[in-house]
Amino acid sequence: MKGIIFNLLEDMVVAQCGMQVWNDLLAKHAPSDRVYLSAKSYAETELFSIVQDVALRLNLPMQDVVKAFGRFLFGGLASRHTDVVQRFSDFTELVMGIHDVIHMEVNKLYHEPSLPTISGRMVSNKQIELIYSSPRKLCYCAEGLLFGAAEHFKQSIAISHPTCMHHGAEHCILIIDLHEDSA
Amino acid sequence: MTDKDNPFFIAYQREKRARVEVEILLEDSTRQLYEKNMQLQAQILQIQHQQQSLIHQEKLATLGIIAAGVAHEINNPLAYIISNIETLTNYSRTMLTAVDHEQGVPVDSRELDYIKTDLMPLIDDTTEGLNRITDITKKLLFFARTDVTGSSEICLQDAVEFSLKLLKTRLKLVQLSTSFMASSAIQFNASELNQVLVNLMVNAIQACEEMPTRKAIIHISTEQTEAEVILRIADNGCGISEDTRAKMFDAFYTTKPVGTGTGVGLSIVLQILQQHQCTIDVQSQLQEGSIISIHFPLPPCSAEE
Repeated sequence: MKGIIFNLLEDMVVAQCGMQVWNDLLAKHAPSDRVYLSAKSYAETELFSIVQDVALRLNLPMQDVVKAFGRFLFGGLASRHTDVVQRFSDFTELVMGIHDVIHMEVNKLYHEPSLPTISGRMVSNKQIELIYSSPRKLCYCAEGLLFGAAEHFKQSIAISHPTCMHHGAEHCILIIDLHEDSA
Repeated sequence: MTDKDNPFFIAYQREKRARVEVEILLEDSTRQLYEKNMQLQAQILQIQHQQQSLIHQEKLATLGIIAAGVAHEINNPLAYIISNIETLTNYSRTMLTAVDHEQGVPVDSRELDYIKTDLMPLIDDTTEGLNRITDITKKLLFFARTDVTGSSEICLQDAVEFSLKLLKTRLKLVQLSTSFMASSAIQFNASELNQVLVNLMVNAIQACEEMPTRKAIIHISTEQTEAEVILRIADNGCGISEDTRAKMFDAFYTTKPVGTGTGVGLSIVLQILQQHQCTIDVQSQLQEGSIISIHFPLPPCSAEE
C-alpha cells in the first residue's frame, strides 16, 4: 500500500479524532520508527489494523469507515492532482476513464502501485456498471471514492453492490445510477 | 486545549503542508521523468527500425556490386548449357531417324557411334552447369535474406568461402590465398556475417584496383587464441591514410567517387560487429596495403576447449 494512502488516512483521523488518536493508532499498529512517505510502499495490514481500530473507536461498521475514507481519499487525491481531475468534464467521463487515464497517471508516479482492475460500461445514459477486482477487496473504498468524485462534480448518484468479493464472488459489480438532481 | 489551539499542532500542520509541497514537486519530476523515458523508448525503437532499414539498404547496395559478377557466373554455364542442348537436339533428331531406319530410312552408323560416346558426357556437363546455377542463386538468395534473426554457431571458414564464391568474378584478377587455422565456431547472425565479410572483401578488392600497376594480392586468414577467433583480411592495395582511418567507420564518410559508395558500409560493419561484441582494428600503410582484423570472442566453454 502506497504511503500517500496512509498520509490521507492520517489527515482524516487527525481532522476527525485529533492528533493524539493518530499517535495512539500508530503506536499500536505500526513499528515505532514508522514514517509514511507518499511514494513508498508499506504493509497493507498496517492500514487495515488502523481502520479497524478507528471503526471500533467510533462504534461504526468497518465497511462504513472504509467507505468514508474512500470519500475523503478522493478529495485528498484530487487536491494534489488537480490537473488530472480537470481532464474530465463530468463524473461519467471520470468513471469511464479510471483505467485508461487515472491508473495510467498513477503508474507514472509510483513504482508497482498494485492497482485494482476496474472496467466500466455505460448500461444507459443514466447507469454505469463498474466491475472491480483486487486481491485487497477494497470495494467499499472504491464506493467511497465514487461518492467523493460525484460530490466533486456535483453529480447525485446511488450505488448498488449486487455482486461482491466479500461474499465469495470473483469480482465486485457496482451499479451506479446517475440522478438528474444535482448533489 | 484543542488541537486547533495547540502550537505544536499548528507547527505539525505547517510541516505537513511543507512535506506535501515537496512531495508534489517530486511527483512532478517523477511524471516528467516517466514521460521522457517513454519518449526515449519510442525513439530507441525508431532508431532500431532505421538501423535495420539502413542495414537492408546497404545489403541491397552490396548486392548491386556483386550482381555483375553473379550474372557472369550464371552466364558461363548457361552458354555451354545452351550449346549442349542444341547438340542434344540434333542428336535426338539423328536418333529418331535411326528409329525410322528400321522402317527403311538410311542412317550413318559412324554418326550413331559418335553420339553413343558423346551423349552421357554432354548430359553430365549440362547437369553440372545447372547445378552451378542453382548453387549461385541459392547463395545470392541467402545473402539477400533479411529474415535470419538471432545468432547461431557458425564456422568462420565456411562463411569466408561462401563470401569468396559470391565475389568469384571480382577476384579473377586477384592472387588470393587463404589460411584457416581457427577450429572453433563463432556466435554470429549468419546473414549479417556475410554482409560484413563481403563488404570488407569488396573494400580490399577496390583498394587493390587503385594500384593497377602491380599484381593484386589478398590473403585471408583465421587464427585462434584461448578467448577469441581472429579473422584477418590483408591486401596490397592503396592503403588508408591516418585521416581516413579516423573517419572510416563514420556513417556517410566515403573516399570513393560520387555514386560508387553509399558511405555507410563500414559504419554498418562496425555496428553489426559491436552488436556481436566483436572488435575490429585496422593496420595500414599508404601505397603498401592494409590488414583488417576482426576479433570474435569465444563463449567461455569454447575458450576452455
